[in-house]
Amino acid sequence: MIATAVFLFLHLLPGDPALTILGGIDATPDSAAIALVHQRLGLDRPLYVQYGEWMGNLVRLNLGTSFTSGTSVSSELARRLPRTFMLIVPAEAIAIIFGIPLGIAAARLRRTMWDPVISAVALLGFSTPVFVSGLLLVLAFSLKLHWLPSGGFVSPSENFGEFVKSAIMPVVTLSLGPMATTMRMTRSSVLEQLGADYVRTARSKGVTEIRVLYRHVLRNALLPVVTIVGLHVGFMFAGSVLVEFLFNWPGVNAYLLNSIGGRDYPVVQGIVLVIAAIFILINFLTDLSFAILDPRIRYE
Amino acid sequence: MNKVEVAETTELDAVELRAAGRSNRLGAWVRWFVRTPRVLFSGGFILLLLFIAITAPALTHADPNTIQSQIRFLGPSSRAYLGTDQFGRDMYARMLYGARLSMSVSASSVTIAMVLGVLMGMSAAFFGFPVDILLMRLTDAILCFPPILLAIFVVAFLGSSLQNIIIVIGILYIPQFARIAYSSSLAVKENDYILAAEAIGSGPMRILLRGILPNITAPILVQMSLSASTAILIEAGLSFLGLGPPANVPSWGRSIQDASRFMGQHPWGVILPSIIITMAVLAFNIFGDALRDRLDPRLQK
Repeated sequence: MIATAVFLFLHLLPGDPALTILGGIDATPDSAAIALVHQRLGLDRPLYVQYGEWMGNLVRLNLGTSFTSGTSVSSELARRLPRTFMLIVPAEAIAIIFGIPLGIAAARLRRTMWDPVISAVALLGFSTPVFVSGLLLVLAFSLKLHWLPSGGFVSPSENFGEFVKSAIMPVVTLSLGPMATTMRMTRSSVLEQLGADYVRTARSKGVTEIRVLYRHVLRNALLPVVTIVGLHVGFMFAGSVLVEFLFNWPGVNAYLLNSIGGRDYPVVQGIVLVIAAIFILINFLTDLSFAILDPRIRYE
Repeated sequence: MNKVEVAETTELDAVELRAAGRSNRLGAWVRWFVRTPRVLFSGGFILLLLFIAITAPALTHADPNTIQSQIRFLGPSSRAYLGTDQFGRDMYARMLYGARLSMSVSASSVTIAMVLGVLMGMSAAFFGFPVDILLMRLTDAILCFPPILLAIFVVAFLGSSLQNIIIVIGILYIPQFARIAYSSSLAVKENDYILAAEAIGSGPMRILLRGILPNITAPILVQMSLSASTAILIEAGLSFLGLGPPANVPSWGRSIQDASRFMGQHPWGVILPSIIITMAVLAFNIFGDALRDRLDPRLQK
């Protein structure tokens, strides 16, 4: 269904790819040349024929070939998707590894001077646009300190050290927003659980405060935190568009931006379809993991 | 005679009481605004931005698009309060007009999203099957795509006029409002006064607008503030990618993009708009949070 929507949307929009291929908007190619390009790309056939062919290929995981470069969209995506995940996965890991302990700390420090400070930093963390934090990192670490490259991509199989160096700033940039939301979520979830009856029972039994927190409260408090991994997916893809652009990282999103400029239908269709599919899959897995982790939902 | 007089006085009393109640509530809001520091700062900053957006031309003599190549890369000085950019354009004027763009995009897109989303959510809750399935699936479809991707997609193909950007961001935020309106309306709809309204023959429009709407405003107001902050982010992001409004419209995101190429020699050009965008987003987030704390009865202990 998404596939159909994407297809119709693209083909009903104004703008002719043949004009782009034949050299920009300023040039005025003659109609014979346009017809030739249309014929070669199969754009002269009725819409339903194009649609049928596209859906047929889709079932065989063939996303067609690029109008402009003539390369296969599937293989180009297979090359670029891992690069985008090289940013998203470590960023999510950092967000969780730092976000959860910080959230617990903020909850434990409630009603001290640190709580508002931590909360304010977290709020700042997800209010800062990724291109702002990214540029400030570039300014500090590559233009002033000359520690890290300001952009580019080195394949990890060629030179792993250089790869790590080129990935540090994009990954950190991408992780800041999710880290802040993880922290806020953990904090409010822990505080909510601390008010529950079983905590009072445990305390009155003489269980130490540390044990109450780590053995009793965290087990319940971290359940909702798991779902934010799913909520982050949208943010991560949105953020990686800007981060890839900023750090000149040749991932899926850079490919998408180029193809949109060139009205390369098969590429845009393919990418949008794949990203939407990943998006839906991860949201589904999040719902599923919630049911596995929380027996109360399973039994309802 | 007597009876009429009595009726008149009670009616008068009721009107006066209602007026008094209203001014009391207004007073409570004003006190809350002034006495809660975070509300005062964030709300104050939002009001300031709105004021700037409306009065930008009156606040500066400089034109934001005038290129003066002899005064490029100036720092803040009396000649240009906030310095000049790589074309010698006045940064103070560009920031003021940038506020105008940011505020108008976020205000109009959030209004579009709020009106359509709330109408969809309320109707879905009120009419039930099959309207609810149809409307809520429609909003789910929008949620299938990461927001900025959808925005890039539409803007790149339909052109990046101001109008298109506002409409796209507006559509992107419909689901949030629709979901909130839907779940709140489901609860409100069960109240006896809705039944009473139906019993005396009120039409659906009247029940929706006078019966349900006034009782679901709290979460919608909170969502408006939070959505306004992300709308600013999306507009700035699109401008940063070069997919924003046309080049002659000053925009914070575009200023950052333009200045980032000269960041080594003139970091100020990046830092200034960065601070302003972040503060604007932060203000809407803090205000939304504070509003939720005040309006959500579950949080008041």
